[in-house]
Amino acid sequence: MKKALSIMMLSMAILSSCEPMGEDGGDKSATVGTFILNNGTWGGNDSEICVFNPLDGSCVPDAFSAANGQKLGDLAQDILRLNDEIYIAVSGSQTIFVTDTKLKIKTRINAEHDGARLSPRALTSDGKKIYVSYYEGFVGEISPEDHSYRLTTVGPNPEGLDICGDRLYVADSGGMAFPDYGSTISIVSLSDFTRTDTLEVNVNPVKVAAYDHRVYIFSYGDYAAVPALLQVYDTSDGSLKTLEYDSVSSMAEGEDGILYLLCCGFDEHWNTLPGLILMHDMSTDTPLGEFVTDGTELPNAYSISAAADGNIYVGCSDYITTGEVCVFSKEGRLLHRFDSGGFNPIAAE
Amino acid sequence: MVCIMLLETLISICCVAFSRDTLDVATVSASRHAAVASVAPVTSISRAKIERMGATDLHEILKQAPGVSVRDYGGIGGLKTVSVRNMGAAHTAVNYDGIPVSDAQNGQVDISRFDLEDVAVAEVTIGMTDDIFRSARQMTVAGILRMENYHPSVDSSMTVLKARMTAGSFNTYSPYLSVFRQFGKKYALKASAKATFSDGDYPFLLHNGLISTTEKRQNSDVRSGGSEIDFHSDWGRRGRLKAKVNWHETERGLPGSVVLYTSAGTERLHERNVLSSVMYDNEIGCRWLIHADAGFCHAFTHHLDTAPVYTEPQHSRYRQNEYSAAARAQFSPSSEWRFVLAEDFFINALDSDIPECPFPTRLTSMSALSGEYAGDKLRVNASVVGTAVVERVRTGDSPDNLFRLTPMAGLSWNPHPDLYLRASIKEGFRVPTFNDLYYARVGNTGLKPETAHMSNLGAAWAENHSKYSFNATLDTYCNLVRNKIVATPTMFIWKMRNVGEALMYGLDLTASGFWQVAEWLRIHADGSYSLQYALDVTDPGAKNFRHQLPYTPRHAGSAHLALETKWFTISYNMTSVGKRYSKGQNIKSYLMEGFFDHGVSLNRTFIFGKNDCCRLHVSLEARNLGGVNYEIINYYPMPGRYYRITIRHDINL
Repeated sequence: MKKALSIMMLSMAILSSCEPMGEDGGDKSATVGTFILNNGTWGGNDSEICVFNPLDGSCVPDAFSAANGQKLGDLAQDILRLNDEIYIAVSGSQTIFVTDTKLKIKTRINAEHDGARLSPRALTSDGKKIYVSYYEGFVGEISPEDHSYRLTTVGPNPEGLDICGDRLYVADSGGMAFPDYGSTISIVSLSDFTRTDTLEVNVNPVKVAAYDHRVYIFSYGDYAAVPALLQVYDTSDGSLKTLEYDSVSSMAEGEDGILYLLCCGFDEHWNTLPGLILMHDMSTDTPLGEFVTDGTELPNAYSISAAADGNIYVGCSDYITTGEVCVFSKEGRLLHRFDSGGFNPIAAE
Repeated sequence: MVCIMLLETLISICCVAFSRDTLDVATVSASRHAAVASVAPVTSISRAKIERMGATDLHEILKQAPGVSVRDYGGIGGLKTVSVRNMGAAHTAVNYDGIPVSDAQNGQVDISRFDLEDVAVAEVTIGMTDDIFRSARQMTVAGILRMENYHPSVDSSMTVLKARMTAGSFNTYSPYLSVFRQFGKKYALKASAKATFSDGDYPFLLHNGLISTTEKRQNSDVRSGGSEIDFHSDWGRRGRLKAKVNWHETERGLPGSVVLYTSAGTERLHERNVLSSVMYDNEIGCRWLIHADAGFCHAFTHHLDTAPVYTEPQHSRYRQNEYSAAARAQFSPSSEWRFVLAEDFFINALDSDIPECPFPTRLTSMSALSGEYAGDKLRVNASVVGTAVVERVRTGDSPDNLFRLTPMAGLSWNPHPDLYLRASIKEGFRVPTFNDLYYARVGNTGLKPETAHMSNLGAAWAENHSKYSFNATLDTYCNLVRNKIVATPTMFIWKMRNVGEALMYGLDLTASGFWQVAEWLRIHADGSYSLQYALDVTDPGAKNFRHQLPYTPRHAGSAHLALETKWFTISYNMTSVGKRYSKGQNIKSYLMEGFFDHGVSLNRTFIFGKNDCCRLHVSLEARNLGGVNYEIINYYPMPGRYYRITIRHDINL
């Protein structure tokens, strides 16, 4: 995902993280650091952001509420930083918050189609526009200048999306269409913002990561006979290949084209096994082996993110208590471990 | 000996006599006696109390009962389930006028569908069943909610017509009509019909951080209707036969939880429930008592979701049928001893148009052998229940057959004429529901039953005089729920598993009484207080270890005061719930503040006509006087202050 952007954001993060915290001495609301997005629980209106400072390991929970005196809402799914703005997709609340880097609300984007509000899921950007998948079967293009949006139709219940060249690849999960889940990737031309093609992939695709001419697609399968798969689509020759990875549950694209694969199996009693992180080189399409080098165990591993500070964030959740976040250096060493201050830490940015 | 049985007969006889005065005295004294002398806590709410409270809904009166919690999702159409000592609704059996009301799919019964108009007494038993002459399926549960209806009388020749109209806030109307009539000396018939209409669009204050806005509950309208036919015959020594058919239908919006920044409301639910049963009772000689019944219950649910995340509207239809047959016999070899053998057999089947429905059919046999010694001062009873469950599915895996023996025992000791001491110990369980076992991808056919070990130690003081009475009870308990069936996350989806363990201990305290101040004034007062520790003891390493379970207040209480005068009755009711948490991890973000719910009612009965044949009863109520939109379930606000007027007209011809 967004190589150029990551580098840009990385430098931004380094720049911003050099600023001392609370310059004026009185402002304790953390604005420097990595935003940990807590998904919360269904119907609980308990999504939250905690701000983690990788320099000193400190963590400010409930940072969104503290900055705005109001809650983030229900089931925040994704967070993205573009220039000096933060975009937070809150799916249950059917809104996208646009804030400044101190999380102060600038505006809300309430996309509608035929009078019905839409539920934003995943965000991506090419540095010029923000693209968002809407669970009702649309992709939105948001202009960072005036926060206006336009929509185009894709497959049912789109989830992850990423840009490869001048095209947007959108995972049409069809996750609500049990038992006939979706099995396509919608390809949207960015020049005229319309779907030009669809690509047949494994059942229930949910994440997309593009690098160079390759598009990596992770799909859940049907949770029964059809397994979860990681597939790679080569845009140069149109080939689709399945990669030999077991029990992938999530993935994140790091800098320099490394794909981090979070693998979590479970035993015969449905106990979740500790997470394992594998690396895959997207530029050469070859496995790079295990990421964690210091033997850190990851019970209840739930999400993985490659944040702008260059670190890898693994969210752990048992769904019944607040989550934990493990921060790893690029070398796979555990740097910090902290309580995410909310349920289900889903993303770090 | 057979005192409880006689009491029950007394209650029904008194009810059928339909003389309100006699009924009041008899029911009150009967229930009071049952409550204090029982081996386990029993809360009995008589018709007289229901009328004094001005209550029209079952959940309103149950919220006053100690150790009983009502999960109320708010509004007229909101789901309302009942559980005892927070062990979960699936551990509470609901029995409507002798018919077991079950839901093999969800395991919980929505009690909002029962109209109090027909109910003569509502009773909740916690733990050990006090009366051993009960169906076996009532014995393995942690609690029983029983409703006994007014029964048509075969004692005197008359026809009674009853009409009621209730109107309340948020465009709520609830008419009711019933007629009962004797046919000769042996047969009687009662028929009733009712309906409820409500917009349910009550305003509420929504707090979002520092911002508060006034919103309106959306998509919470209700239309419901129902009718009931009761047939009774009394053949004297050849026994009594009762047949009943009850039909209830509801169409309502499901407002869901309040979601910040948006309003959804795309779901609707249509339900139809039919309960029917034929029951036969007889005494053979002075040593045998027999009962047999056969029943058929049907539940149809149509859930519609028009949310745009679905490519087309989602219709899910479920049909559940239960066929049952039960018999029990009681043998009393002497005045002190009695033995009961009860057998229940029932078949539950689920049919649905949802994809991959396995169409399960469950055959359950429950047999209970019980014995009781009832001496002058001591009553001891014990039972053992054998349960066998065999399940078949049309496709996929079916769970293993289940065989289980559950013992239980209780005693009541009367060391002083006014004092009763009681102790009981019981093992109960609930079998996994069809949803637990088969729900698409989430269900797990490897589930074991969830078990509940319960023990109770209590004392009751009962002082009854003609001018005043004073009753008090104190019960302490310790319950352990094991193999809790909970949804747990796996790699991508949730899976039902037996992983939870919960420890509950605490006490329930009640006090009640009346005082006949003057000929024209009688004061009734009662109150209750519950202290409960309900702790999650599943995983010593977890952040929620020994934290209070969600939605379980440590402190709860209720109070009721009524001034009954010659002209009118005015009553005040209060329920209060202390702070609790909406999640198992007791942290500040999930703290829910406590609340008080106050209500007052004023009612008056006018008696007129030839031989006082007509009674006109008018009741005015104001509920939730504080006007606070408190929540029982997080983001399901309750209505603020609302009003209701009920006019009831009875004519005895």
